[in-house]
Amino acid sequence: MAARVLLALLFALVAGGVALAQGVVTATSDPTIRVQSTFTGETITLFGNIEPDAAGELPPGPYDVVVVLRGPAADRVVRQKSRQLGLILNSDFALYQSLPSFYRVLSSRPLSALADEEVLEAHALTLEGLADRALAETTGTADTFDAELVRLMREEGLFATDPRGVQFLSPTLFSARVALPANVPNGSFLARTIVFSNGEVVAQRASRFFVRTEGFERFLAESARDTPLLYGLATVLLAIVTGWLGGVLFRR
Amino acid sequence: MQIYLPIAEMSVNLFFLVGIGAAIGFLSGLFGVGGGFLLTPLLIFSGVPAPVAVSSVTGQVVAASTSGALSYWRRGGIDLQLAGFLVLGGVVGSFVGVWIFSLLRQVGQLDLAISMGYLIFLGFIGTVMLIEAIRTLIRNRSGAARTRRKPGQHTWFQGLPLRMRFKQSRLYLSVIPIIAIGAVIGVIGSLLGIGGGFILVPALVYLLRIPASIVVGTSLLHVLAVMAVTCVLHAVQSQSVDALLAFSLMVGSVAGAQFGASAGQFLRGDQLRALLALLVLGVAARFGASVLIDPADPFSMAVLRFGETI
Repeated sequence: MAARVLLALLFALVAGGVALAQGVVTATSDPTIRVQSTFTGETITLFGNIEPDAAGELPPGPYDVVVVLRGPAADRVVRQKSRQLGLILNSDFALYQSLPSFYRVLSSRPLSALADEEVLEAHALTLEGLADRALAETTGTADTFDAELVRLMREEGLFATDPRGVQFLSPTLFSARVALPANVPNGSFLARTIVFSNGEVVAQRASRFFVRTEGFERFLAESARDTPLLYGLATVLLAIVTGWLGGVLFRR
Repeated sequence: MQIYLPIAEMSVNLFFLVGIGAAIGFLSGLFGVGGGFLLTPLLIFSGVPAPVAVSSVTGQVVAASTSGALSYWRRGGIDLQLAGFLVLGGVVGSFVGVWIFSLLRQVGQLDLAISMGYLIFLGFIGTVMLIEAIRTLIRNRSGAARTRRKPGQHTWFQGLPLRMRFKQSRLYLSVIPIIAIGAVIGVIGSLLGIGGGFILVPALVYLLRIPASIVVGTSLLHVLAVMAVTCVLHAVQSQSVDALLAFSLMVGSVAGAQFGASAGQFLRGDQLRALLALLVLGVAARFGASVLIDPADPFSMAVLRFGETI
């Protein structure tokens, strides 16, 4: 599959039929990721090539490439437990609005070696910066909660950075492999590719792909959301039938 | 074999789910209880979000009590009139319970409330059961005659109004305590994800003097009806019922219950009650630890949905 896409991409590049206004072209191995019941994760591969501009000149190399995957947004709350009246209670909280439920930063080199802090911030390449931007309100210290949010998201496999995630196949051709975990959220994903040269952004491109759960699970999740009463009644009916069948089967 | 639970949003091994369903089913067959009070904690401790665990177990309890209630129905061991009033109270109670449930979820203290609920409730019930079982064990060993209450004796709520004749139970009593007992069990059951059979049976026996031949079947029917209503309410109100999770557990527990019932015949009643009491206290202690001991990770994260606010 990956090899086929690579060949197709190479063919397109050689044939010169691709519009190259942004200086980089990309293609993903699969425009739609389908989540099945036995889903334990999926790998998506993104290919890209750094292209000469309209005047036929390549930006000056050598290049560093960063690939950022951003999943659908959700509101999240981080809560801190502390001891009150001898009991462990949720006390301080921080609310994050429109926080991506999935974020991957893959680069060809460690980010700190690639560009200044400000440039990285401006392109939302640091997870702490991403968290801080989504922070809507907190009763505690913003920095503490930002760091904890990033840690928790990392532990769930929803946030990650990979400083060796982008490989160069030739001086201008690169690929990035992203493992999507089983709990990857459904919806529209944005893949941004940013080309750096000497700490400056020289080209960038964005493309979309979709992640959707399929089959029985998708049907269940949708009915639970869209027709909750029917879903509840069906669950109860299923339970009664199962119980009745069990009683009949094991009747002594 | 991994399956993806669409509501819990996690991948779990199918054999693990069916396995714990079977283990709980075995214990519930052994002790003659629904098993929700063991299953919900077990799911929470294995990483299923507490709201999903509580709501989905209601479905499993429906399945477990259906097969039990059916066999009692065939033997004529159910007082429909009595069950009707219990269920009436139970349904009101489960509405209140589900309402409290979503209220607690909104203020972010649901996990704590579930832990505290289990700690206090199971701690109390477990202690009472253990004392009772030990007393019986000692009494049986010393061979002393049991003092039974005389039939003429009255408790204070026998004087309550709205009295009614229950033909099958051969009782003449007020419907107020019946509805009240049903309601209390309904609230507790929908909050903690338990059927409540193991409290309902002693309550009916000790407080209302329901005959032993009627009490288990009637309480099973009550649990079945109230948990069915609670399951639908949770599905509508908090949308946290995971049908796939519930079904995997049901299949295991319906099978396991049969083996438990057979094994139960080799143990004496008082020994069974002492074992059950120890089990209940063990679960209570585990919840106590989570409320009283400093957590390994004081920070937790949740997604806000369904118009939830902080």
